[in-house]
Amino acid sequence: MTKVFEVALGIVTSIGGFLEAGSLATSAQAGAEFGFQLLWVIALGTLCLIFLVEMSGRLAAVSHHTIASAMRERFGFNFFVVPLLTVALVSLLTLGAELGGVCMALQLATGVALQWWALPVMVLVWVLLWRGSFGLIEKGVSLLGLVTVAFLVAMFRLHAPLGEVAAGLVPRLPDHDSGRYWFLAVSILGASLTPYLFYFYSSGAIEDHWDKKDLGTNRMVATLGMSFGGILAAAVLVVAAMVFLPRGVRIESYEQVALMLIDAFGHWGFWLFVAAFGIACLGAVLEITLAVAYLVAQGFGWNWGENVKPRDAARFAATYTLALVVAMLPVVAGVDPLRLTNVSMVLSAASLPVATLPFLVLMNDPTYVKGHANGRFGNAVVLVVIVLACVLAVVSLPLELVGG
Amino acid sequence: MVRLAHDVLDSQLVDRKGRPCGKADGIVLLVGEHGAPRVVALEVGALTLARRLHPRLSRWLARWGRRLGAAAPHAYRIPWSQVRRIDEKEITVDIDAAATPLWSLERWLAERVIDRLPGGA
Amino acid sequence: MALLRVVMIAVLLAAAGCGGSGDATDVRALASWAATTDMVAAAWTQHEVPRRYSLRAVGRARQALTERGRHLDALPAAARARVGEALQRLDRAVAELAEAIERGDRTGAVPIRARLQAEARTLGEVAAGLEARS
Repeated sequence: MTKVFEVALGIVTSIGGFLEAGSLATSAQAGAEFGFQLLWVIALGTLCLIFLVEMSGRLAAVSHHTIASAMRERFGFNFFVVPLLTVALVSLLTLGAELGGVCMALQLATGVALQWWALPVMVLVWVLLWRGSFGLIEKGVSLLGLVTVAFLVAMFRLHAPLGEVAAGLVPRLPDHDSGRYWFLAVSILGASLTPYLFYFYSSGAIEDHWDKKDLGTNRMVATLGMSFGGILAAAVLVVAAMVFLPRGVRIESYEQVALMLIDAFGHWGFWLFVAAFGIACLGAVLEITLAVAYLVAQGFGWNWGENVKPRDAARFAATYTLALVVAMLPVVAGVDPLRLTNVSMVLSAASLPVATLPFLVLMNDPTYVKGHANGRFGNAVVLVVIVLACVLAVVSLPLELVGG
Repeated sequence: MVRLAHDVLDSQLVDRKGRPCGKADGIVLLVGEHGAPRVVALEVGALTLARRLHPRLSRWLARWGRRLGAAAPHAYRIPWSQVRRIDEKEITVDIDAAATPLWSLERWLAERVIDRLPGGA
Repeated sequence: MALLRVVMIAVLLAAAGCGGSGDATDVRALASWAATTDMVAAAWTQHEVPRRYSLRAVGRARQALTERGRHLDALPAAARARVGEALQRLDRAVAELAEAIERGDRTGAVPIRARLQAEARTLGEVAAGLEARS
């Protein structure tokens, strides 16, 4: 019985943890501009994420190593420093985008400019990390995060044409604006596969003391949880396609995205959106802040853990505090949160080879995963998707920065 | 048999109380009279890591780090004779990490920063 | 070095590409913001969104219209004239909408919607024409 509960909770956790500023914004943009055409990218990104998350949990359960510590041990410090810095920088940027999202949700709700929310939000997050335990953060925020199911409900309330939706799952070339199409495709891949997600997952598995007995749970949670998360991102795309595309609205700011649930829910729609958006971003903020601190602490062998009192993991606590402050700088400086989100999603796609290729080597090394090495299919899916994502990112990021 | 680069270098260290206390950032070998190298110590610290990246980086870090006083970056040596156990997960060393410079930054942060904030201890 | 060269070429290609298609994109964006203000007006008159949000959203739309409106020099003369006029009417309508929201005058905001929709349509037509040509 506890096993069933554990699996259910794990799935709920990943649903709540999946949808955040990145996938919400990129899915809404894709739907508004290209209808259901980009749904296949969400499916592809989700499939790849299922594999990566499952691998991350398997590594932790079998070898009792997190990705970061195994990577440093296997490849040596001089190599490790490259993924360490890359993942840390991309994660800080993503953290900035998510913090911007929380502040934006508060601006939408109150009308008070988002810069004013930076400090209160930072203090709230910091207190939650400082006083809270891993379980509280993981489960509490995720249960609240279930409000994001509103997007799925909205999809049905708007009577989405399921045949056309299904047709969007077939990959195809764009019929117009191909530069923009591929830019959004890579943003979606970056949003589905942000490296912090699977780095974080292996730390969580260690915090929860997983071992080989948990491999079955791990597979279930990764598959079902990430699938449901992907379905939510797809629902956002579908709703955006039905609400914004016929009106000719293209998403350039979160003020526009905020109107997306009104057709489905009337005056509840606005507040549902604000709640779903704010909570989803807050959940992501907590996870990414911890992920950065985990990465650094595990890379240097410090004592770490969200269940340890800050005094007993002083460097760890100092790292997440510093990460929060640094990541908030662009928000305070007035960088548009949606722009920040778009740029960080493309950069996260570009960073995927550095973040995942060494991880893939680990997952095929019997020293670490013993008899539980990757299958050929898993290797192939991850390899193909990350190479695709990186190539698209390198080509389309300049395009976006130049302002195409 | 212990394979130094494979089993020791960059592995997690834990002290006798089971506390994580850094990684085996470096291995100190001593070449004896007859030319046979012998492992004498593990080296831990930011200066060791910096030297692995580039010797100049290490010198630069040492010069600027001195200003930090107690929390200055170091290269602390744990004698090989203190190594108790090497397994797949970690290396156990017979030291009390909190009594060594390995803990200097941790102690500095705990006493100077965290104790002054509510709810840290 | 090879990677750097690829990136440089991509940037140059992107810069060259944007000059050509940017105009239609700019007009599309103007149409999109016109449609956005209409959505905000609709939601506000039906008590579906709070006043302070509506003011901010309309303010954001005005800012975007001003920014995008500056990049019309490269348009063909006929299209530029049509967009310019539409933009002037749009600016007036959006300003009146902002005032109505400020006053809390929902009935006064209702007739503005038809004007917003008309300009969104006009701008959309111009953008479609430009896209068909390129």
